[in-house]
Amino acid sequence: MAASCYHAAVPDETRRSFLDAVLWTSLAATAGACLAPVPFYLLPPADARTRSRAVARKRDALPVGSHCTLMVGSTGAIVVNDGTIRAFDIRCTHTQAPVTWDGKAMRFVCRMHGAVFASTGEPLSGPAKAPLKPLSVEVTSGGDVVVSD
Amino acid sequence: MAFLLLASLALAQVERIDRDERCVECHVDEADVVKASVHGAAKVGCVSCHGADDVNLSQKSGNPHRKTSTFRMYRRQNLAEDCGSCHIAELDAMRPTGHFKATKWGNDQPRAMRGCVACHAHHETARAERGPIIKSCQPCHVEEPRIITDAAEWSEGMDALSKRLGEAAAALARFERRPGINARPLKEAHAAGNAALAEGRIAQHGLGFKAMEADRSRAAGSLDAAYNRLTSDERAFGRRWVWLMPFLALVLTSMILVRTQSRRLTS
Amino acid sequence: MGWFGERTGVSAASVRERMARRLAPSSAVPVVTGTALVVLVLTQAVSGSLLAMYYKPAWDRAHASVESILAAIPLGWLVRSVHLWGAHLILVLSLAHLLRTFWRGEYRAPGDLRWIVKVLLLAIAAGLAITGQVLPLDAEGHGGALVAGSMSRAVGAGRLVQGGDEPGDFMLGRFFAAHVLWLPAAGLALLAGHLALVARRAPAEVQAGPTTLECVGLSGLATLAVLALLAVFAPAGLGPAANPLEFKDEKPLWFFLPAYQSLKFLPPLAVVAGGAVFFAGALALPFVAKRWIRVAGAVALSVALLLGTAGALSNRTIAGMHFNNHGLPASR
Repeated sequence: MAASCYHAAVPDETRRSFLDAVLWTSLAATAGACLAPVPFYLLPPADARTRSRAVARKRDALPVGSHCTLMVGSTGAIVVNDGTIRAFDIRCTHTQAPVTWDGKAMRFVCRMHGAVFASTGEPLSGPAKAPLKPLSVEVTSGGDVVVSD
Repeated sequence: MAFLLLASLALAQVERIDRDERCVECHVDEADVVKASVHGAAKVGCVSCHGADDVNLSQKSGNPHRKTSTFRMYRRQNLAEDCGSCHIAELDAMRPTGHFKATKWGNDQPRAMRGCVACHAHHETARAERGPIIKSCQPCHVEEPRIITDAAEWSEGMDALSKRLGEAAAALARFERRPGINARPLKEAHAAGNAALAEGRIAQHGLGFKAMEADRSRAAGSLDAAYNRLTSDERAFGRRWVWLMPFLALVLTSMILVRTQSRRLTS
Repeated sequence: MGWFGERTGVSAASVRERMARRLAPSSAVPVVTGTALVVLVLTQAVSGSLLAMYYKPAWDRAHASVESILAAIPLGWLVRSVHLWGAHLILVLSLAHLLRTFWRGEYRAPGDLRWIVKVLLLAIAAGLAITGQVLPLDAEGHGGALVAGSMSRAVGAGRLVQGGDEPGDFMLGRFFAAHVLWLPAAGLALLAGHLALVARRAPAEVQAGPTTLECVGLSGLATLAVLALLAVFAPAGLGPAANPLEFKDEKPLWFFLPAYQSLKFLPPLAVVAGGAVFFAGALALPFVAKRWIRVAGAVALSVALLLGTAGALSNRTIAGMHFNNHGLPASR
């Protein structure tokens, strides 16, 4: 008796559309559950930072105006002598292309889009806005130039 | 008398000469010759070979050199070891040979050898040329012509290898990384050939020409094979348009057939 | 063909009838360029699949694998040259195909869905060009990877595009997967949709003009011939391997010259925003029915053309005249 009263109270159209909604929600939720792992899969955790050091050259082989390039760990580095020995991450701060050193004008030039940096790493002209990332450099007692990041 | 002796001693200007620039002040000609040689380019100067000496600068006649213990005037018997103090590999190659033994013989022996300067003139120290060397072999080895012809053949082979390596380097510069051409075998053969040439130049001081022949001809053989392969690849690649013609003819024929079919469809 | 027609509903007679239809010259042009594009897409798919059999998508092995394709694999140079020239031709023809539609105003209803699909196809072609240029990891490819990485970092999608904090092995793997799987799948689906939409619209029957068969057949065959001539007489080379310590003066693919030139005076974020505005504007075109749209579009295109020309001329000496970094004439 009570069941038939309940059935008469809810019209068929509402019941159908309600069940439709339930069905679509459940399908959407299933699709969402299938695709939910994808963002976690595509975004890996950040790399662990390891420090490394590398020997560039002997101090005597780096006269004023000259430069040398080397890999420090997995980073490229450039060592220049403009009076003091300096080392920088070789990647331009604009789009990370390797910069070159102009020994005559004592400045860094990026050949990709024309950014120019002073010998201290400060951007002088061109599209780069941030200075070159400096790396620590020391000259050992044996005369070796050692670069570490 | 004692006073005159003392005075003459006081007037004598004996100076220790231990820098090349001071030697050059008197020995101008030798200095020019050394400067133009490979030793000059390598900054090996007077003092590196002859050592330092005390020299009486005020002496007018005779030899002003005091010939102290640090001074080395090269004696034939020690020449090979002295040059060999830097040219270690060549000395090691030369040590078991009859030439090395001949440098130790006394001056009374007719076939006593002058050591390194027999082929590489002192001060000029030029790379030994084939013609003058072969001529200088004659006086001692006049009874053994086979020895001289073996040496001449070896030397000709080395020159030919050097020339082929130059041609291979030119071909590599043209063809490396060109599409359709595999330059890697020639690159490897070129590196091996250079190594064989360098090794041969040192080992030939050991005089075992027949034994070294095998290595050198192997390197030359693989170099030739790689070079020929590369040039034939390049010729074949140059004929690629010949293979294109049939394809273009096929495309043209298909186009004509498309036109014909189109006419048939609309007529 | 009756056997086939019974099962698929496509009979020989209906195909013949469709092929015999004559087209007015103005309707024939998009059929010609469109057929050329379809043929090129097919050749790209085939040549790309062949290249993928020998290419190794690892940062330290990619360049060597392409070198061996060129040198050691028989006819590898031909497959690579076909793929490279096919890419250039697809970019040129898609731009021409799209510009014609734009200029004739055919992006308005009922051609608006077709227009949107065309713009999306151009975006996919651009994506294929970006990802494909990086894969050989020569100097050009390395530069492309660096720029793509910095642009993605500028919009915050750095970890997604690079698979890490900087361009490297993971980025190459992602670009390879995108170039070989994601983008071609999306592109083929869109192409099928586009062809279905085009087939539905029957152009007016005319009495004189080339038949559809002629347009399709001759255009497709001519494309094959042009592609073969280009691939054989101007085969693709390969620059030296990417060096993280040195950047030679390599410019990107001509298609990216406007972006390259803008990067010389704009930060990467602005360039990405500019490109996004360009594509959003193109997609929204059918729904903004104003006159000045065409003027705005023409202005945008001329700006892109100017930037591209400046980029091409920059740092070059042509006929004795030296051009500086911004593409302007400069005294040496």
